[in-house]
Parts: sequence; structure tokens; C-alpha cells
Amino acid sequence: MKQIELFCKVVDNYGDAGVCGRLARQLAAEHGHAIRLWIDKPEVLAELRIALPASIKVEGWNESFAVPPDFGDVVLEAFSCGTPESVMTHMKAQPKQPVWLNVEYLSTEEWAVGCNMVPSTHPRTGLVQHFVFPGFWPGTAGLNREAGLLEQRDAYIATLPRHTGLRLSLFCYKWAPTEPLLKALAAHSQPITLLMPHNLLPELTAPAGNLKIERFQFLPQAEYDHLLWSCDLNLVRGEDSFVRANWAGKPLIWQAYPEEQNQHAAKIAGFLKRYTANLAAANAETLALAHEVWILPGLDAAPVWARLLNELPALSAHAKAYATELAQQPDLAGQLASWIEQQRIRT
Amino acid sequence: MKIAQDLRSGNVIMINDQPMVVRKAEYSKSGRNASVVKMRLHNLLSGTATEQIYKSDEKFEDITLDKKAVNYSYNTGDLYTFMDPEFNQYDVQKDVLGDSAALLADNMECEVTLYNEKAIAIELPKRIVQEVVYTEPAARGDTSGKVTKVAKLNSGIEIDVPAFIEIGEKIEIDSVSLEYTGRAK
Repeated sequence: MKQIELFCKVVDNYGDAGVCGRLARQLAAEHGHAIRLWIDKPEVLAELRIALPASIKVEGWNESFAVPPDFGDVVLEAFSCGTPESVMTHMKAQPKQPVWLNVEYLSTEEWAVGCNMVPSTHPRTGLVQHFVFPGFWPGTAGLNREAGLLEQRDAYIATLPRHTGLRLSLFCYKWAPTEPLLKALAAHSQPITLLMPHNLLPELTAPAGNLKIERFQFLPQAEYDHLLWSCDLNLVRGEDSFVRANWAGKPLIWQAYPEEQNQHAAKIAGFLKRYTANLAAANAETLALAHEVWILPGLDAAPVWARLLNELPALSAHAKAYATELAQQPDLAGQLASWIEQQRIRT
Repeated sequence: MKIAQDLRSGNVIMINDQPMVVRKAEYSKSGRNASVVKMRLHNLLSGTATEQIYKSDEKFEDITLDKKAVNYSYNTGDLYTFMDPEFNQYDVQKDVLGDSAALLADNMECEVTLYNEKAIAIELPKRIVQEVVYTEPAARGDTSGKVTKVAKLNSGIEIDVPAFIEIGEKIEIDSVSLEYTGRAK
């Protein structure tokens, strides 16, 4: 068992804390490591109500971080948040350099394969850190995926009563062009229930027609998984909900974190290239169009959404097969644990 | 100081007290407006190549290396000696010169790169004249489609040359790629 020091900074929202919480839990529960999760805003993690085992300690940190005497020999920096100077000094003073990794943001593009586990020798100290790139492509560090997740999902879905019409979940950024989406949903031939967080775009109401909007209160991670599993289509955003929607095995539309120079469009293209590799060309085109109208306000989007709804049966079959195939790749925590073990044997 | 995203091929930076020349720098957006730069680096002291990755805002001390015009004097075993116009001598190991060591000729004009007054690289003239000491004659009626053949040069190097080149001809070769560039003028 290794003592892992995991450093996380909350940039905004819940993604940073959520991803780190999941990773810590998996490293502890499935690989037997003791984790100290240093997070600058512990209250955000608390809000997520992640069930953490006793082998995970959560502590606050800031720039004046003081290295405790029982500091571990594995340092994980999450999302290039910056390893504290005091930790660098501590590592430099050790007879054997601790394992030092930087777990980057999720990258959907293929270039992440060539960057995964590449060393980074610190210009001043000479300490060597390795960069870890989570991703979808074989050769990346994979994704957060707990052992038995897909089996749990299928068992849960088997218990659900049949619902009439369609169930959709919506989690998006506030600038999302929702009006044409709601218009298309209301005009659909089947009744649609749209599930949304209570505090997301509270002014949004359903246009007249076949659409009903239901609001839900903040959900712990496990319950959000259940929500995704129970829906026929999930519109998700950012990183954590996006990854979970992939494992849900249901059709999904992703709104990537908005970036300068429209870089998020490249992220979506990278995802779609992988996601639609074994999908019929017409369905792949529909998905590409839906992603386009979802990040570019002002387009004639309602016909695209209508087309997407009509293709849901084909997209559903694909989504489940894709999740099964994706799960053949090693997961993020498993790859990190293997890497740490290799380093232990090597030194 | 330079940040990683401003580094270009040819820049020289210090990493852990080692001067490294950037051979290639690839910039990628990793997420949330963050980015990384993957670099192929060459250690000017050890001669080793390495691949490294950095956050795009990582800071590096960049250095400008001194260069001086020198002439090749002589070699003793694996040590090659050059001299500048002020008669200062600069010794360079053969592995620094690589294959181009064979191309050196007495008094050849070269350029030495210095780091902390130590010679770490030698640049030969871009084009070097060599004499073909042996090559097969071009076969009449050869229909194999081959347009080049192997030629041995007076330096001992063997390179591909066009089929029309004959023994005794003087040709120009590129001192870095060691490729035929044309007949000597």
C-alpha cells in the first residue's frame, strides 16, 4: 500500500472535485492505497456527497502549504494545479525521488496518446514528473470507471418500470441555445419528460406541446448515475457528467467546456471520431449536426433535434455497444496503480 | 526567461543545469484553456536526445551560445582540434562530429559552438567537395529503373549518386545529410 498525496484545485463548478473524488475513491477501494486528498475548497467536495472510505483523508491546502511529517511517496497533481514549492523542496531532499504525476484534463483527441506518460524534467530542480492524459483512445490513461460499473448499470436498468414516451436529462452551460431544442422536443410525436437540475436556467419553461420539464435537486454522484441510466438521451457538459454519460450506454450529446478560439469544437470532433467509428454514416452525421447546433447559437437547430429524436432507436443500440467496447480499455485508476507499482519495483 | 509555448526549434534552454537544444516543439490544448508543449530535446553536453512535456507556461532560462569561425587543424585518435584566427585551440570528441568527421580536410573553415568556453558542436561548410574513388559504371541497357548507384568517396564515405557519375569526378555533398547535391563547379 502506498500513501498517495493528491492535490486538487477547484477552478469552477464541481468537475475538478468530482473527478478527484472518484479517482481517490477508486485508488483506495480497488487498489488498496491510502489517499490524502488535498483540496483548496473542501466544501465543494462535501457538497458532492461522495461516499469516501476511511482510507481517504480530505484536507484543505493553499500556497503556503507545509509538508506534514508523514508525507507519502507518491504525489499526484490534478489538472496541472501546481505542486506546492514546499513539496518540491521535500521531494528534492529525499534519497529516492517520490513518484510524481500530473493527471491532466480529459483529452478526446488522438494526440493525447503520444503525450501520455511522457516525462517532464523540472527546469530548476531536475525532479521528474510524468504527465498522465485521460482519454478515449487506446494508449491514453483511460477514464474513471469503477469495477463492475456496467454490470451495476444493467442490473439497475432491469429494475426500472417501463416509461411511456421519452425521458431526457439536460445538464448544460448557461449559454446553451435551448430554445430550438425545447421547440423540437415539444413538437415530437411522443410525450417527453425533460429532467433538469433545479438551479439550471430556472426561467426555462416548456413550450406548448408534448414536453414536460421536471426539476431535480442536487444529486450525489451515484444518484446522478441512476438518472443517466434511466434516460433515453442525456445532454451533458464538462468532464465528469460527460464520462458518466458514456458509461450509461445511452445516446448522449456533449457540451464541452467553452475554450478560447472555439477550441472546444476540436474536443467534440475528437470525441465524435472515436464515438461514431462503428456507427452508420447517417446517424453519425446526425450526431455531428446536433453537437454543432448545441455549441453554436443562431443555427436552425429545431430540425436537427427532430432528426436526432427520430434516430434514437439506432443511437441507443450503438451507445450500449460503444460503452461495452470502451470498457475493454484499462481504466484511469487501474493504469495509475500499475504505474505506481512499476515505479516501486524499479526503485 | 522564455515560457514553453514560445519555444521554437533551435532555441537553447537550461534544464537541470544542462543546455538543451529544442529540435521540435508541439503545442496541444489539453482542456479548460490549458495547454501543453511536447518537445524533442538534444542535450548539448551529453549528446543524448530526449522527449519531454511541459505546461505551456513553464518558465525556462534560455541561453545564447557563442559561435566562432575556426579552421580544422589535426586529430589525435578520437580528439579533433580546431584553431581560431587568434590561435586558440578547441578540442572536440569524435562523437560530437558524428559522420561528418570523415569529411574534415586540412584547414577546412568551420564554425565552433561554445558553451561555458567549451566546444560542444562543430558546423562544417554546408556543401563539401568530394572525389569519387569508386563506383560501378552505368550499365548500358539497364531497364531496372534505378537512377542512382553507390559511390565511394575519397573520405571513405559511401553515398548514393546519380547513375551518370563516374570514377574521378568531383561532386558536392551536403555535410549534414551526407546526400549528393550536384557536380562540383
